Order: sequence, then structure tokens, then C-alpha cells
Amino acid sequence: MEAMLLEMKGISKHFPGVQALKEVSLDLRAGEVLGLVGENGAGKSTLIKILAGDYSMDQGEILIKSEPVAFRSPSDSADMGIRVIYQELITLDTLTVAENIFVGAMPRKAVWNTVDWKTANTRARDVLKRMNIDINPKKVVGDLTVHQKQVLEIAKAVYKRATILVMDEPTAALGEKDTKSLFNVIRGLKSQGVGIIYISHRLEEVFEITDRVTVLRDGRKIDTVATKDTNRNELISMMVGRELEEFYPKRSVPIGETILEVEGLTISGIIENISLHLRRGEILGLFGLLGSGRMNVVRALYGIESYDAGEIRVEGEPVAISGPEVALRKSIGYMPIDRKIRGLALSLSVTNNITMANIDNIGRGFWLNKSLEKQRVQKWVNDVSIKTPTLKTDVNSLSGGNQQKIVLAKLLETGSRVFLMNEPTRGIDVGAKVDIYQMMERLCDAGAGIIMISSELPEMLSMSDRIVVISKGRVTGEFARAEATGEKLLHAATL
Amino acid sequence: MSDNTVQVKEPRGPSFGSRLGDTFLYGKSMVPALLLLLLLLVAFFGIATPNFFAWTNFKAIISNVPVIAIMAIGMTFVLLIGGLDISVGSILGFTAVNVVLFHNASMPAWLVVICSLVIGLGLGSLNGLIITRVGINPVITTLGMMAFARGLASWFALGFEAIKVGRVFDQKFLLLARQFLPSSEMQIIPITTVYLVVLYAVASLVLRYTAYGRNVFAVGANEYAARLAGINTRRIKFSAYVLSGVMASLAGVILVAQLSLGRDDAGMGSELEVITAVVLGGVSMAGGKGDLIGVIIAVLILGVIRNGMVHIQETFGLSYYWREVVKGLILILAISIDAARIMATKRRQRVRQ
Amino acid sequence: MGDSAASGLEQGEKAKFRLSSTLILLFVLVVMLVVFSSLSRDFYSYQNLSTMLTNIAFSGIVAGTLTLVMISGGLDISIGGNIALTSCLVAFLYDKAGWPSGLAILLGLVLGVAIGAFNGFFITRLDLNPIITTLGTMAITRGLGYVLTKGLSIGIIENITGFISRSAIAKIPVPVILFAIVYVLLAFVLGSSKFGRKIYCIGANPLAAAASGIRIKRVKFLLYLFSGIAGSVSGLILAGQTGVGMPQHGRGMELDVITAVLLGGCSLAGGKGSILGTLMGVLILGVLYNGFTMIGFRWVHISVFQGVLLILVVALYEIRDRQRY
Repeated sequence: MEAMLLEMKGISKHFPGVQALKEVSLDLRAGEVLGLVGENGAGKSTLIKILAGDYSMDQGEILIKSEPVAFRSPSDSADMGIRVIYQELITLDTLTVAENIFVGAMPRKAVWNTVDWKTANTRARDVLKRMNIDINPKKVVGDLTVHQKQVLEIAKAVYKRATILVMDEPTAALGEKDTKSLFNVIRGLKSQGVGIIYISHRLEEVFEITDRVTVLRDGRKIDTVATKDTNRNELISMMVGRELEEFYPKRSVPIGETILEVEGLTISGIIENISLHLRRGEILGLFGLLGSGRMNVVRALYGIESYDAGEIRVEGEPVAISGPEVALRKSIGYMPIDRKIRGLALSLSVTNNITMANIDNIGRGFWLNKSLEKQRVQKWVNDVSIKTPTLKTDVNSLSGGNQQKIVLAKLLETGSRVFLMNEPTRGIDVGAKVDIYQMMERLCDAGAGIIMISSELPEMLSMSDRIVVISKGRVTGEFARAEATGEKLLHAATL
Repeated sequence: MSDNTVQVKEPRGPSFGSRLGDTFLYGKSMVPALLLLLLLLVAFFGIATPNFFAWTNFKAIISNVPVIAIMAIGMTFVLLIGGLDISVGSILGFTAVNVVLFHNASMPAWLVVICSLVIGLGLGSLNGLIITRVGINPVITTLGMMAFARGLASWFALGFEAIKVGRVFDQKFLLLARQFLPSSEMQIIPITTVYLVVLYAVASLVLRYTAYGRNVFAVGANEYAARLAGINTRRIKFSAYVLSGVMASLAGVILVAQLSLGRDDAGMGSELEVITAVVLGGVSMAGGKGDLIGVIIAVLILGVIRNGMVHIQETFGLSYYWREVVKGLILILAISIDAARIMATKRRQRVRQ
Repeated sequence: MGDSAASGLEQGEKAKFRLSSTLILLFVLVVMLVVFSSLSRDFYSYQNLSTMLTNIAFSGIVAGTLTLVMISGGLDISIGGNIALTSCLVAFLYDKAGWPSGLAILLGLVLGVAIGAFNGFFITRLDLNPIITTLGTMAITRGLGYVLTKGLSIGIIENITGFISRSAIAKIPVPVILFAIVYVLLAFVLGSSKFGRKIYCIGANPLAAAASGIRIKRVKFLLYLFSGIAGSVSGLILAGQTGVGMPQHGRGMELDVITAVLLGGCSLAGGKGSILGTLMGVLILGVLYNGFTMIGFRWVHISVFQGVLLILVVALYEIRDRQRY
């Protein structure tokens, strides 16, 4: 029997407060495409980062062609023939295509050992042509489209003789034509014996291109099945599991009058003519795959992205949202997807973080009323069940779930009536998730409205009163709670 | 380098700045714009003041250019890797003082040059070590080095009272910077120009055609990707600072030979001009982008301005001291253009999420 | 599934750390005072003390505003040029243009606002690198000083500037009183005001601050404005103290001031620092340089030391912080 190209056995990894991976095993054959699926927070990224050498594992072993290996850095992993094509491409944007492929090992002329640009360009063209790609090797990479950059990364990986290629959501920003061309590339790689791990939320793609599929959920491997032996529903139920539904609070909040209206919101080249509305007590789910533009919508509503056309009305009053300070003044609050980057100042205390968006209202005039501040912060800490040793503790030392709760508390402190939440339970443990759901329910009860972006289908289906689906920059569907199903959402999201 | 305010919110539509930046886009070179600017300046000064177009004036311009031009080579490497070196002026000054002391010790010309370059090597290496090994911010490091070297220069120069400066230098040494080609009778090209041509040619070739040169660009473009490709980023960064130091000391030697004078305040404020020249010449402060052709044109532009302003002063009676003011304004203009380019690039990369 | 106690340093430990930093600085200060007084008999004379404290006040005022700038993540190395130009302008207006001294001083302060606004505009509106920008401003301001005075110094006859710089209230030199007032004000602003809180947020994470609705550009612009005004005030003090306005004034002082602020615990990246820390830094450096001069070190020795000290200070904090993680 042919040896496995890659075996990952019993991989466990934990971060403060969260067990990201629990004895996950995975194997990959040469010339096969293995799909890796699971909801956000299931552990896919962590597993891949361990494979890439960016993270270390607590337990487990990795074998390549039955030989155990250990990675201490990304370059160790690269040396073993593993290449990861991340969503955030790491191209050298100021250099040319040819140079990106050969960086660190440019072809040289024999005589003076100088860089041989002519050969570099011709060879680059060959490498690209072998993958049926036509890009001028002399072009500066910064001027390429995202698809072209991606394909370039793949070409580079092929050139560096990658035997194991990992693609993380490769079609997120691609159109249909580019996706087809990517699949051709992948098939070509398969025939050369390269093993590919293909991570994607787009199940129809998984069914089209993969040979087997591994499903992760909550840091555990659920199963690995041959693609042709399974179907969409089965995969979804494996990804989603039944237990989680018990954790969602029963949604029975009365829905009031309209609190937010968006009409014709457009960011040229990104989103077009988005119209939606939100009512008091309502949770509006905004669903879309990566690259659909759903985040751009929410960012525009909060003023951290500029929009080119459209009208926004808060409680009937038209507003031009030119920045977060305007949004906050109009009672719109935002919970960013990347809490460590945009949500929190990690080196500051719990207190500082919770009050950051409402500083002007704590105390009269010029001075900050610190005792009032302490009161209010303590209230939120109790309300949202934030577990912290003291109110002055650095946020950096708290768990992911508690950090997210602090972001929520910060939002609550602003007294907003419209809440924009971008993946509110991403990367946190189940206990904290429950707390956040309950808080959301209480907010709705108090008359607020929430627009929630989530890529976790069960969360989306259980929490939302209505769901608007966005695909390729446009609204492609709207479903009331009763009629929404995972299939309908995914179908609309891939239109 | 310390962080700028991150622009989280963009103004409605493309701002004036980023639209301006679009004209100096990524793939496009700054060279045509710079040549145009050079021509315009020459025309302006030529019309506004008499004697500008004279051959002797032309020779004066290119004689004044080498010191900044040489340092600009080193600074280009530093900026290419994404760093900064504001100690070059002080390294020049310290070298200048030592040149005098070397001569006082009756060293032959060739030894003086070598020892001087060693000084630049040493101080540059110190910069490089502190930045790459200890991990201190390049600005603070080179700021500290700036004070340190300048202080050392003044200290060493204390012994100058005992030396009759001016009679110290031997002919051979002075000729290093004062000779003309092709011969002493036909004085057409100053030898310093020859040095510059050679240095710039070699440096350009290194940047374009050697593995080292390409690695310099890679480190500046994306350090993570460079490291992943197996490039020793630490060594590359270190080398840039060493080169900057050596170039500064070389410039010091040339300066002393030209003036037959080595003072402890030599080169004071020159780091400003060097950075201006390099940024104006299209080398991006973000790293990984730029070429020496633009830099030499920018150096010439600054030289023309300097010379032109002297003429303006003579013709219109304006104070000579406006030079410093103009230098500062040009620097700010140069980095504004660079910032506009970066803004424009960021805007084009907005993506659907 | 719940959370165990927070990993990493808790606030209690952190406070101890910070307290111990200040204590160490205080200890260093006391040691220096003892050492210098034993090495030089005149150290504690009124003459020396008031000179030393006036010098400290001179650079201290600027260090105070610079602390705010640096906590927000910025930097201002144009203060030396500011000092030079202010002293030249005021001297020129008073001496050559015959303006009344009060008006001349007022214009000096206006100049400070203008320089601060200039810096603020380019750094916040055009998003330029603060170091290079203020480097340029330094050249421009000092250059203008040279233009104004044609390179020479202009004398100021003893008047209000003289009062500011050379007289004393209750035996305390006026600059020192100014220094104390400024520091008390800044300490309150930084520690107890909404504005001060925003400064820390901006420095700790500009992205999060912006997303929280804090108007970063406005706050930073104001900080550079303050820095400009402080520079002018220092310029006035120096002009009064020396009796002249000259373009060579303030050369090299940016290094001292930055060193003092960093010594006091400010982080280059922003988000950390305090007025108390800067006060310690300024005092230590002031006593150190004064002591050196008393012992007989010449300026050249001191200036070599300056560069080394800056790097040493940053290196020490860098190493200490690294050990924590």
C-alpha cells in the first residue's frame, strides 16, 4: 500500500482559556485533494498554522512519508515541501512576478554569478504556462489582481516543489471564471502527485474538487469521508452538530418600529445598491461567504469605510456617516471581527477598554469622573459575567471569551440602539458564546436592534429573526426566520 | 520607524492626496518627473540670474554634489530595507576630524583613506548591531549615534589648537578630490565626478544584478516572505547600516580634501539633505522600492537649487540663510509625495470582504 | 469551560513593577545628589541650585508636552529649532523693530502655535512620518532664525523676559515656578481628564481608538500644538536667561528631552508613560549634567555621553520588557 504523504496524529493545542484542538488526526495521500471543513472556531486555522510551522503543538505528531518531523519555524515546514496559500497573500508587492517566484534564489549567469533577468523571465513564463496562466513576468506584483496574486503564489509553491499544498479559502475573492481556472490548476497539480488540503466554506466546491473530506467541529475531528460517499446534508449536520441548538435562547421578543433604514448603499467596485432595514427588538442576520461584501456593508454603516452612494436613516432621520464618532452619536455601535486589532487596546486595563467609546460622557466637562467610571464598569462586568481578577487588569491576560465580552461591554456602555456585530462569537469557548447570546437577547428585549454577521449557520439560523444574504456585492435573498434553512442560505450566497 | 496614525476612516471618495499619488503610481518611475523638474529649475535660475549658465558654474555645481551624493548611496540601501539612518552627518564629521589627526601623524594619503573608511565601518556596524541584535528602533539608535559621533568629533578636535590646520595636508591627499581629468592642463571633468559615476554604476549593478542586491529589495518589500524564502534578513539589514557608515566616512574624506579643512561641525545638518535627496529620488520610506538613477537626479536637483540660491542671493540680495529653510520645505514636500503614493496604493487594494 | 485566573501579569503585579521603576529612578536621583554634593562643595549653594533648577525647568517644560506627544505614539524633534526661532523673533521685534516687549513676547507665543500647527497639519492630515516631518520643521525654523538675525545674535535688554528668566519669587526662580505649574497642569490633564485618557488610548492601539469614535487627528493635532507652545516658552526663557536671541540656541536639546522622557518610562510605541516618570527623568538628567559640569567635565565629554545614554536607556527598558513575555 502506498505510504501516506502526510499524517497528523493526535494534535492538541490550547490557548489561554480555550482548547483549540483536541487530538485531531488527519491524513493526506499524494495526488489527492482533501477537503477540510468546519464552522468558524472549529480549529481549521490552528491546525494549518501548526502544519505551517507558525504555531507549536502541545501534543501529537506529524509524519511526512512516514517519517516523523518537527517544525520550529515556518521555514522548516517550507523546507519539507509544505506550502500554505493564506487568504492574506504574502507577496512582495514592489517586485516583479518573476522575482516573486524566484526570490532568494534568482537564476544566475555563469560568468560573474550575476542575476540573469532574461532567464528569470523566461523560466517564470514557463512555470506559469505549465499551469496555464498567462501573466507577464515583468509586471510588478502590486499591480496584479487578487486572483492573479493567488495564482502566482501557487505557481511559486509549485516551483519550489511543494509536495503538500494547503489552500485556505482560495475562492473567497474569486469570480466564477477564475474559480474554474483555479480548479484546472488544482487538477494539474493532482496529476503531478501533489497533495492538496482544500479549506472552504463553499460546500459545492468541496463536492466538485475534493476526493475526501475531513470535518472538524469545536476542535475535534468528527469524521473523514470519501466525497462521493456523502452528501451536503450529511456534511452540514456533521459540521453543525445537534447539541449547540440547545444553547440558543428562545427568540420571542416583540418586534417594534423601524430603527434603521439603508437604501441603495454603494461602494463602487465592492458593493452595489444594498437596501435593508432593521426594527426594534429584531436581530437581522447578514449572511454571505468570504468575499461577498457583507463586511463592507457593516463597515460603511459604522463609518470606517467610505461609501459612494446611498442613504442611511436612523429612526427616520437621514444621516451621513463619515466616521465612527458620527455613528456613535447616532446610536450605532460596532463589534469588530478582529477584537485584538480593532476592538481592544491589549495593554490597557479592563476599565479603560470598556469605557473607551464613551469617554466624553463619563463625568461633566473636562474631567473624567473615575468613581463613576468604576461604578459603570463594575455593572457591566457583573451583567455580562466578565471573569477578571480586578478591574485594572490588562485585557491582554484574559481569555478570548472574556475579551469578547469586554468588547460587548464597551458597546453596551455607549448606549447604542443599533448594534452592528461582526462575527460576535468568533474564536471563543461555548460558555462565553452562551453569555453573549443571552446578552443579545436582553438587548433586543430592551428595544435595540442588532445586525449580525455570522458564518456559523446554526448561529445564524437560530438567532436571526430575518436573514439577508449577500453575494458578490449584492443582496441575493431575504428570508424570514421560519422559512430559512442552511441550504437556502448557501444557495443564495453562491448566486 | 515609529508608526503613523493609521488611517481607519477614508474621506468620501478618493482624497486629493491619493489622487495625486495615482500619478506617481507603483509601477511608474519617478525619473521622468524628476528630469522635468531639473530642467525647469535650471531654466528658472538661468533666466532669473546672470552667470548661471556659465561653464565654471556648472563645474561648481558638480563639485559640490559628491559629498551628499556619496552618502545618498548608503542611505538608499538603508531606506530600501525599511530603515533610517540620521547619524550620517555626524559620522562624516567625526571622520573629518580624524583625517586631520591622521595627517598630523604623518600618515600617507592611502593610509588616511583606509583608516577613515574603517571608522565609518565601525560606527555603521555599531548602528547595525544595536538595531538588529538588541532590537532598538533605528531612529533612536541613529539619533543616539548622531549625538555620540558628534560629541566624539568635538572631543577629538580639542587637540586642534596644537595643529596648524591647513598646512597639514599633503598634496597627494588633496589631489584625491581636486584633480581634473583628463589632465592638469585640460581640466574638464572633476575627478570627484568620476568617483560618483563609478560608485553609482557599481551600486546600481549590485542592486540590480547581484543576489545580495535583490535580497535587499526582498527584505524591504516583505520581511516575512523574505525570511520564508531563506534570506538572512538580519544580515542584510546589518549590511545596509554598515554601508551607510562607510559612505559617510568616504564623504568625509572627500570633503576634507576639497576644503583642506576638517572641522568638528563638518556635515552638520547634512543628514537632512541626504534623506531629502533619497526620498525625492523615489526611494520609498516603506522599503523595497527605488533606484539610484532617481537619487542622482534628485541630488543634482538639490545641488542646482543650492547653487541657484547663491546666485539669487547675489542678484537680489536675499539672505544666504534661506537655504536651510528651503531644504526643510523640500524634505517635507518629498515625503508628502511619497505618502501620497502609498495612500494611492492602499486605496487601489481595497477588497470585498 | 470557564476561565481560570488570568495568565500573565496581573494588575497588582504590574503596579508593583511600575512603582518599582519610579522607586529605582528616585533612588538613582538620591544617590546622584549625594555623590555630587560630596564631590563638589558648591553643589548645594543657592547659586548652583537655582541655575540647575532653571536649566531643568527650561528643558523640562518641553519634556512635559513631549511626554503627551510620545504617549500618543508620535514624536517631535523640532523643538530645538522652535527655541532658536522664538528667541530670534522676540529679540528682533524688540530690539530691531522697536516693538513693546509684551507684544514681542505675545508674538513669540503665537509663533509657537504656528509651528505646532504646521507640524500637526502635516503629521495628522497628510499622515506623514513624525520624525522626518519634525526634522524638516527643525531645519525650517532654525533656518528662519538665521535669516532673521543674519547669523548673529541680537541682544535683548533686560525687561519682561528678564523678569521671566532671571528674577525669582520667594527665592524660587520664575522659570522653576512655571515648570511646576506646567507639570501640575499636565499631570492633571494626563491623569484625570477625558482628553488625557484619549491620549493613552490612541497610543495603545490607534485602530481601536478610532473604532471607538475617538478623534485621533484632532487630539494629536492639539498635542503638537502644545509642543509648539512649550517650545516657544522655553525659547523665551532661554532668551531671557542669556540676554540674547540667536539661531544657535537649543541646538542638540531634542536629544536630552527625548532621553529624559524615555528614561521616565515612556514607550516609543506609545500608550505608556506618565508625567511623574518624565519628572524623574528630567531631574536625573539635570542633576547629572550639572554635576558633570561642577566636576569639570567639558561639554564635549557630556555630549558623547548623551548619545550613549539614550541608547542605553532604551536598551534597558527593551530588555526588561522582553523578559516579561
